[in-house]
Amino acid sequence: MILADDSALFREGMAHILTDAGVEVAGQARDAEDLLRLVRADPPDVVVVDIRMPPTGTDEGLAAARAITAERPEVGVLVLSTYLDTDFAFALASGDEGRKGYLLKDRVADGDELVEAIRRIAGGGLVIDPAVVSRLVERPRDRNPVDLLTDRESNVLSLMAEGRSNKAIGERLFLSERTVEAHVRSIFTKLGLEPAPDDHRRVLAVLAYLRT
Amino acid sequence: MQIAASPHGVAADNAAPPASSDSTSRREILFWAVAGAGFVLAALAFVLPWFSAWGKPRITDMAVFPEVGLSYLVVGVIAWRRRHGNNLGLLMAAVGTAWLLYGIGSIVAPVPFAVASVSRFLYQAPLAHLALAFPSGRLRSRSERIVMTCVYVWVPLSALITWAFADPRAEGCRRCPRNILLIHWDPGLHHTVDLITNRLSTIVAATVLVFIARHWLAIRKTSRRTRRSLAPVSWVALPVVALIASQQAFIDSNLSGVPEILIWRAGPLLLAGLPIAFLIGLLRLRLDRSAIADLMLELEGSHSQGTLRQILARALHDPTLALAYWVPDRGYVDERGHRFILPTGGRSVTEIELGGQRIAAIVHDAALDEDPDLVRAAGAAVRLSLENERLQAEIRVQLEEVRASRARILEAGDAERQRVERNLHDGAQQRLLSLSLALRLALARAKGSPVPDPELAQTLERAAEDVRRAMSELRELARGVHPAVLTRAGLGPAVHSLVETAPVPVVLVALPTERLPEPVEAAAYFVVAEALANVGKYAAARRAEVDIHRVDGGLVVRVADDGVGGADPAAGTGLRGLEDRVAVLGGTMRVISPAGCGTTIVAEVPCG
Repeated sequence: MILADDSALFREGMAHILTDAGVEVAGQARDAEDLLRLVRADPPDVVVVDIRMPPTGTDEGLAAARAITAERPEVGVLVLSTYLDTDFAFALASGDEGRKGYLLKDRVADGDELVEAIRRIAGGGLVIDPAVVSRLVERPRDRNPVDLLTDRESNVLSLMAEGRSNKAIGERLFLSERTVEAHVRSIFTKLGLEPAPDDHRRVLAVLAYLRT
Repeated sequence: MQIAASPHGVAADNAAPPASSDSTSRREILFWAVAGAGFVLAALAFVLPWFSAWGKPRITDMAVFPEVGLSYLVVGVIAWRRRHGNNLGLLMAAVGTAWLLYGIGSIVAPVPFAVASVSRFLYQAPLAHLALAFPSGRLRSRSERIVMTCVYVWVPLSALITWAFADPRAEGCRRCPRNILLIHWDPGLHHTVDLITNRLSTIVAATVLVFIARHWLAIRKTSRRTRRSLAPVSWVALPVVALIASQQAFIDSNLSGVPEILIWRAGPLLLAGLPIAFLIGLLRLRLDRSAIADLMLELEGSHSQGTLRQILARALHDPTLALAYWVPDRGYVDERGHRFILPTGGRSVTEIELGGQRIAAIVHDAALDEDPDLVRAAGAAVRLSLENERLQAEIRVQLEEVRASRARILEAGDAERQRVERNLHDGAQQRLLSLSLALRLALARAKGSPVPDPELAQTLERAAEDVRRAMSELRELARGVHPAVLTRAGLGPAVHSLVETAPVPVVLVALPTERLPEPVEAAAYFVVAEALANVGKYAAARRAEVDIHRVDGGLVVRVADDGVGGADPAAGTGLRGLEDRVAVLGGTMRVISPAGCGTTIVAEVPCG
């Protein structure tokens, strides 16, 4: 994979953690231009990119992520952000394809989460930061169908919204895939949602539900 | 542009001449020299024919010739006395004098004969000048000045050339005195020279007529006032032009009978009508002075119609009249307090003073320059009203300055907020992130060490947790300073994130999807942020509603809750700050909060 961030210290630290965890860091970029050059030269499985990079420090990373997806759909993109930005998570999830992720920069310190996210993206999945999901789940609502869910179903809902497959959810919660499937059906019924044809669309449906 | 100085306050005695100077006294001498010579010539014109060797004068000549000259002289004197320094009087006197010079020819002797021969059509030069300079008395363009110079040179020159090759005695005039201008006599040459000078005269005359026609068409368009004063002149000018043209055409023909009487004997009487028409025109301008009295009465009455500008425009018959007010350190401004640049061509400016201080300027039709006292009198009549409006304009200028400085302060504040947010992001937050990575690496090393140190690992874990909390707090702080999502994605997403973290359920009624100017987005965002924060702090509400929608030319932001109400915008700094923010953009904000009935905040912001 390749990572891009304008802070050398942070880049080095992240590379260290990833290398320790057995992820091969093929290159480091300090800005969007650098990143695009490296990706074109030797497309990696996944790039990790900071949303704010020089020169303006607003959304250069986002633009670079879009450019990479357009040029090389097979390259996964994990966008890191200092701030929690649900709108951005939506924009990212609304694409047709998976292979994308949005994580708060804080997660990087917890190496396991970062590595897991990269592996899921490399495997074609979608990764939404748990903080985004919990903000949406916990926001006050007038009549809250989420309250109808059991604790276990709430857990499954959150993991689902973070972009995990039934199998991954099962592994997390020490449940069989079958049991997870049953929980998911129950959640969809309680929330009044149509069953989704695939994991990606399932994330979109759940996020959209939680947002309104 | 002419700035008419107003030397004594203004115009209480509007007959007062402008400050005397060398040039005006020289012009005074010139005028009376020309007019005086004219009156002497007029007297001679009445007397000389009776003693002339040419024979008894014809009654038609005696009834026409001196009268035409006299009428110009008399009207010239009236115009001159009425308005010192105006060229029209001088030009009329010059026409009369030049006309009467021909009368010298009654003395049958070589020198008077030569003078009369050369001066026969001399009056046409100042007459053309008069037509071109009416009613202001000045030529307006370089081309007009060039044409007039040609006329002044050509009229006497053509006569000199003609008479240099003409000998009336050789052509059979036995009573004629010797031609002292004669250079060479040859009938063929005489004929040719005559033909050429006549052709050239026709060209010069045609050019002048084109200029005069153009000048008159142009000034007729300028104002009703000018048209009023021009009308009588126009009635007479056309027959006069026809007369001069036919004289030019038949100069060499021997006419007799009715045509001869019409063109050479009675026709010139028309020329006497022209100065009378000029006089009527000038008197018409004078009648306007009664309008000043009406103006005073109109201002006196509380039911005055329209603005001061409209009243002045009516009184001076100049609908295009404009007013500018003097604001010290600022220059001229219009009635709304905006900068006013005095025009530099075509229009004239009259400044009005009060107690020696400049207060205003009247920008008016240049035709009014003919009578600057009139404009000044009108200005004097409305002085106090002008000063009143000037003070209002000055206050508007100051208000505008205050508004602009408030906008600058707000802009500087916003820029500072963005800078602080960016510094937090690039500085403290980045460092904390690096620190948390370092702690994480240290923790991994401590755990993986062959000699495990559980105490160290625990300490590192606590430190990592503290750093995580610090980052979270810093994140909230930065979001409050200036939300990155507002800069990046605009109002809609930023309000979404406010709603997601609101303390009570919020219904989003509407949100604009498009980007708006940055200050408008910031104002709307902070209104919603402050309103929702208040909902959490004071309102004890169960739910709230946010509605942001575009209206014609603006944005309406409404935040309502169903809480206890009774919010007082004067009490807290939060709502006051918002009011300022909205007001700077020219918007308004209302807080409707009856006790027990919830709170609604409505802000309307014009949207560029």
